[in-house]
Amino acid sequence: MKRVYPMKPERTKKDRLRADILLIAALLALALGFFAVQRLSRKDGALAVVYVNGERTAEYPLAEDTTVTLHAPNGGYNILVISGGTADVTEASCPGRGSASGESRAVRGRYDRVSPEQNGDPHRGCGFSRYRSGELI
Amino acid sequence: MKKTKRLVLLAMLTAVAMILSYVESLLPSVAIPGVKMGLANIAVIFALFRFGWKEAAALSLVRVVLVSLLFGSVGAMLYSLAGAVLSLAVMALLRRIDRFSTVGISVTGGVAHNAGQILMAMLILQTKQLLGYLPVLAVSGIAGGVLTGACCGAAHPPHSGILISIR
Repeated sequence: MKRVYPMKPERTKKDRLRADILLIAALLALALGFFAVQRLSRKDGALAVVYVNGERTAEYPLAEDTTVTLHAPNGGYNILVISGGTADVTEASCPGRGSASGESRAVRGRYDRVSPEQNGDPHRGCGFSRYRSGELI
Repeated sequence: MKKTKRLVLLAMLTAVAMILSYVESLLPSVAIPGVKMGLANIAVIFALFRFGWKEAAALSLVRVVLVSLLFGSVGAMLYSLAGAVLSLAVMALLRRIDRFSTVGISVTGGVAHNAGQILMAMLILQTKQLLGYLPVLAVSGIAGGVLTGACCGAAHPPHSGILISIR
């Protein structure tokens, strides 16, 4: 029978078995290393970031369902509800138009996209907006 | 080997590969798309050892095209084709190096198949996100590769590594 590349007889089955095991181990290590690099280079999921007067005061992962009351220095408050991967400001104390500047404002996702609330909108902190991963939805 | 005998053997191996693909398509699919045992690889590796890389390549291509037309979709053919080509290239190389048993070759082939599919998907869908699938699919490819490699070793005993005792 014609064999294109004959098996080398000097390599025993034991040799081949050892080579196989080494190969599999190397491939597994490669997959694991790839996975680890990916995990490390990725930011840990989407976040709801809370800014009070332009300062980053807190962040909450969108992966966990929570309800937090955010207090602003001027006594105002926002209620932040995170559920199902989205952040909601369900309730806010808005003392009146144009006077909410002290409120905790702008619940943002991790991409830090500029949403209307961060552009000097007087209604900031009074919005009942929903966000997911940095997008206004 | 006589030409006719060779032709018949290859045709039969192709039929076996197609049936194995069909059997595999009947199995319930796991949560992650792309996770497969790659049973058809048994026939491809067998051909790789018995004949050579050209015959194995022909078998593999004919199988992919026919199986896609018969049981799958033409869209899926591109993915299979990319996987098959990359997998065959890697396996032929390892066969030539002649250091591993069918298991080692099959494992690498399985991983390469998955990598090829992902690369093709990335090309078609224009997204890098899919690269995250690679480690998962690589591990599944290794597991499937051990299985198919062992099967092939049993079918072609002189080349088995892990299945020494079962022989």
